[in-house]
Amino acid sequence: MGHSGYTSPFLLLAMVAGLASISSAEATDSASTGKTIEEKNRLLGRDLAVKNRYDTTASERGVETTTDVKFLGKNRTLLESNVEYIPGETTNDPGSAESDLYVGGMRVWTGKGRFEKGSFIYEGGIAPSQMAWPIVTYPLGPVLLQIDAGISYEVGVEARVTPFLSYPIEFSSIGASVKANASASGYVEGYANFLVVRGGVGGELTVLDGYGKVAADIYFNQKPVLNYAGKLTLLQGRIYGFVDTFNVFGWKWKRWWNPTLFSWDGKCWAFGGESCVAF
Amino acid sequence: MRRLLIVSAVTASAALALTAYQLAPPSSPFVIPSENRVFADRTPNSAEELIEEATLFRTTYEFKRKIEATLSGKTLTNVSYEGTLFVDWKATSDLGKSAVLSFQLKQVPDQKAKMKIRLDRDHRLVSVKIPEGLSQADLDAISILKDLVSILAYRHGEDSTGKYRFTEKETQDVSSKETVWTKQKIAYESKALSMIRFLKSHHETRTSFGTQTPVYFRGREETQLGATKDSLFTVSEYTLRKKGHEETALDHAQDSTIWKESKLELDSSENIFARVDWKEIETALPLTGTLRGPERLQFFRKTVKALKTDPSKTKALRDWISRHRGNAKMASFGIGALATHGTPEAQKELLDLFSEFGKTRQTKSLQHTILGSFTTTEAKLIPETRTFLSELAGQKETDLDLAMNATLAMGSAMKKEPTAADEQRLGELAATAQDREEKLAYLDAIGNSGSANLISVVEDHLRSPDATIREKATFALRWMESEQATGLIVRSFEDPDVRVKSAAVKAVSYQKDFSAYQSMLATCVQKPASEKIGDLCKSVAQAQHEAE
Repeated sequence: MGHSGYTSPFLLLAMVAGLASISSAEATDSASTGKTIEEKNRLLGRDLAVKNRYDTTASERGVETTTDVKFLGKNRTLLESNVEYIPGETTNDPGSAESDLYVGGMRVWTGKGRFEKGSFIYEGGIAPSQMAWPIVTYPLGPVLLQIDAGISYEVGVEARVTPFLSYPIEFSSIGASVKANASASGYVEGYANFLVVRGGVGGELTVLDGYGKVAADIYFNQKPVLNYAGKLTLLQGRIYGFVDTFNVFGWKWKRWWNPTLFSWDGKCWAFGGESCVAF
Repeated sequence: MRRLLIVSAVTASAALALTAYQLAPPSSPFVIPSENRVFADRTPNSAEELIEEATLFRTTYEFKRKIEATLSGKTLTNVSYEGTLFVDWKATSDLGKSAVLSFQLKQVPDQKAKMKIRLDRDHRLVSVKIPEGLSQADLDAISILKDLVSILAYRHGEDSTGKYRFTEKETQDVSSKETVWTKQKIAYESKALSMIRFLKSHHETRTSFGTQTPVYFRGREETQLGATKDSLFTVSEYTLRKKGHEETALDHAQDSTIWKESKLELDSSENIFARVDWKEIETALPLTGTLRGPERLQFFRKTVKALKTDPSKTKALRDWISRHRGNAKMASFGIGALATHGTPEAQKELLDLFSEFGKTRQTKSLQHTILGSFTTTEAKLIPETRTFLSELAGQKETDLDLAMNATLAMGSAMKKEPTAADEQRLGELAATAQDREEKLAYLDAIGNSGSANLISVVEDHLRSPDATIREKATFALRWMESEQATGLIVRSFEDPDVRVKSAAVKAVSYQKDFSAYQSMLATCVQKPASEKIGDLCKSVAQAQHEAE
């Protein structure tokens, strides 16, 4: 049962074997509090925003990441993922690990999990999929369009828990990390044809592309230390409108108006050794 | 000989039909006197009249159309076109008529178009067919023919598309009070609703068809689009003058054109966003293994559109997935496209792939990918898929992982379309949970379903001594909209375990009606159990405020 963890006891060997689980070279940004990466803009007169949050879980025995998207004014949670250590109920019980992945609010299978070098690893992902947004009406010059919109996305998550158990338990620590690879692309389309005039809105927008990872050294008697790594491109793309008129003599449509309704190079966030500079 | 055969056939059928034939004018608010109709009253009065109708004949019209479009008073386009329309008629056995229309345009002599129409015995348009394999330019040319057909196929009131509305009033002056009032009324409607189209035509001369008298037909149409101050206004004037009516030797039964049914719509151009040629997809599919990020998603959307354009390609994509089962990235792309397309055929192909992949260990992960796609797709699952998931969910002994994954997909299907059978099944399965992990899985499935009918299962688990189970049960309430669910979420917020509190706040963020939780959120913000919980409550409260 992957999502709720593997109930076999974590071996004391994990203390020795779990060296590479969270102290990776990539995680060089560290903090004691959560991190939020957010970008906002406007599209077709409505709010456009994406927010990524990386933090420890409420119990502070794991880490979690969430991605919320606001598109054409409506908010939806694209991704929620967490991994958490659940202490045992007795001193002989080393505890277990839990990992969850929710996509669009739906719990998705994350697999059984496996042991690797003293860490327990869960991996989950989904094939590309799509979320439709409610239809909005948008006036493009003289033409009132009904706009179809939505977000297509693809998500993968890798979660890891590494216990460094010691006795007494107060000297133990937990390493937990969750890495989310996510790509989400928003689309808008609207079209109308009136004999000699037609109009439309179209385009795609990279809502989010890249990965974010949060890793935490969790201690039983002090605040956790969080490390972040990742590179994310947010809100990049162009949405355009057009109005065409029909030329009978040329027997073809001619573009009469071609406004750019949204155009942004986007914002790149890089942390933990990553870089947004491209060569 | 042919003429004799036709006459014999029509006479024979007419003899049978005459006794039963009655002209039954359709009910309509717009009752047009028969003399105003374009076509003569169709009741055959004699066999001779039928014989005349049975003969192949050609009516030739001259047509002219002038279109002026203005935007905010400025001229957008001012064009006119003219040409000759040929209508080749013959009678049909049901006392209707069929005709092949073709035209020649003076301004664009190379541009030809052809269309076949069929009228019933009341001279109403029954079907329209256009040749297969037309180019976009030809389709645009068809739009002219369609306009002409709509003038010819005069109806009592509205045609089947509802886009044309002919009135019996003859008005010379378009700025008359009635016209202005009508425009205003439509303008009001367009403000309240989505875009509309208004067409009004005025017939100045009564016409008749099938006689030797000259026919002169003139009309004027006005279209007002939208209701903004920049309203686009088009005015078009058309004339259709009958030039000849004579027998013809043409027999369109010899025509080798492949016709396909078409709807009589004003707009022949298709939505430029909607269609994607499968050839484009076929060429690029091998690249899906290398595409990443936004490019991959853009191609994914094109693939889904191509399936919608040509649903027969569902099988082709299924076969492609099967051939590339060794490449998880490529196979998952195809699986995602089929699931997003979501038609019954696509779902059946996915089920077929599932059983094919089960034969080797290597492709086991693809079975999980298919189940995951059933979980995330927004398409409603067909009964066959739901039965499959329900049966697989019960096969814990055979493969626990697949069973649990199928249960999650079952829950998701119930969220889109709840059924009593699935609710009962999920409740029964949840009752069989033997250990903690199974309980958590079933709570997840119930959460996916949002089914308030399963709330009793959730409530039982809210009393569990295990905080992880209480946390999962609390979050399972997120999509349940009932007083009982609200009460349980608020009660869970009082739970001593901070994870359960957090799950309660997260569940609130999924609820449609926040009003019942305002007190809970306010308390949470003012006196949070932890800084983290307080931040979470602030975030949810802010989202609620923005939504309002």
